[in-house]
Amino acid sequence: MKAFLVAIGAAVFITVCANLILKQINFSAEATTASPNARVGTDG
Amino acid sequence: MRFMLIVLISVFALLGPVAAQDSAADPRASTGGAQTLEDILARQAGQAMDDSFRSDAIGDPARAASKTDQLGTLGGVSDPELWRALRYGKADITTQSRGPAAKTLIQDGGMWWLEFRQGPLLTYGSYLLGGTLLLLALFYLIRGRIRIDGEKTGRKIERFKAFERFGHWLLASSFLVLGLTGLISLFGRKVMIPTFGHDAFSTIAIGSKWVHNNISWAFIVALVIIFVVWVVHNLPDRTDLNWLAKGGGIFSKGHPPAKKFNAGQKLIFWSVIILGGSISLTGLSLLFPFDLQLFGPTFAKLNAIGAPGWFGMADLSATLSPQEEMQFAQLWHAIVSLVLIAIVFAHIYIGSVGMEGAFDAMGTGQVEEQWAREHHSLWVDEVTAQKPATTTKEA
Repeated sequence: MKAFLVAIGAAVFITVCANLILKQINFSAEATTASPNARVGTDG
Repeated sequence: MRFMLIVLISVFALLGPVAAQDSAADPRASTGGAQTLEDILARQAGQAMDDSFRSDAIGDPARAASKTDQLGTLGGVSDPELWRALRYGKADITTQSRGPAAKTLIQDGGMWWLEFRQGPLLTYGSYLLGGTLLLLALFYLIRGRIRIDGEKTGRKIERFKAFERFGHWLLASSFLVLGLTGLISLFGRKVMIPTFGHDAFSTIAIGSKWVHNNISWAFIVALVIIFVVWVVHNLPDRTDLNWLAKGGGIFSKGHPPAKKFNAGQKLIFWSVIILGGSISLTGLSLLFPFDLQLFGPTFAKLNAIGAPGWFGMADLSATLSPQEEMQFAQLWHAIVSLVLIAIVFAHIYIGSVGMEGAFDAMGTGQVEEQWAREHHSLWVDEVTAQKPATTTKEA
């Protein structure tokens, strides 16, 4: 059952890493669909 | 008096045909061009109807009298005409929010999707999963556990290497989690909210969504691993016909000869690859909304070969709004997933309680030689001929 336990660990590892990587490179679902509101800007 | 009577009769006699001509020329004359009760009822019944009388009635600014003229207006579009233009995607819209779907403010097709998702999808989905479990339970009661017929040898054969088992368990564990979290998303509103309440379900749903979205990558990786590792052994061949013809020996004594994978296992393999691949594609489309257009181009290709006509249907709409793409992706993702879950139920059954000795193949990778001879006789001959010393050993 070693392969089973390694696979479970790999599933957790891939899950966490996928989330971190996608957020890091701004390619998460949130990042690709969000956009700055026209009224909220740095120039006031 | 007689003259008056003749005139009245003549007028009423003439009115009938005139009215009939009017209604034949314009069925909505009675409502001044607006929709009639028949239109509303037909729409509510979901009947196909030509509603160009509504979609084209969106006003014409060019025909508006200038506001500097006497009785001039501020535009050539009334409020109802503006709402119709919004509904039919013909309005010139400027929005603060950006994105492909931002300019679709009203989407009629969304109601069809919502009703299907809340109704038939849940009903037939639960029938499918519940029915499959029921059938498996019945099968177990009738057939019982499939035992190893011959005497056990005590010798073991390596059926799957560690990497193969790793790929299988990565796929299995991610699929089970995806299935569970997917069912929570699909059935949660109807099943879990009444049981646990809104607050608890909110936490469960948010957690499920995060896990579902991110563990999907593990599923995709595992799908690629098992495809690469096992595709050669799952190509159809002549032995499969014999195996299928004998029903895999499930209801008879003895099992038909099979190679590393029998026809039943090959069906499972290709179901997982094709359905799992399709679920992955639609999953990616849902994960990155509006980036991956799958259904519009597919419908266009189906129309080009005349596929809808084979079923007596009109051409499918190949021009889909961004939301419609997502809705089709969601439905396809859910339906194919439900079918694959039902197939995997059967796979789990036969790989565990349904057959003696089967679980060892994925548990330790070593199977009883007698089990292997009964279920995969051609494979055992092949393996023992190649590496007799390393493939068989004392338990």
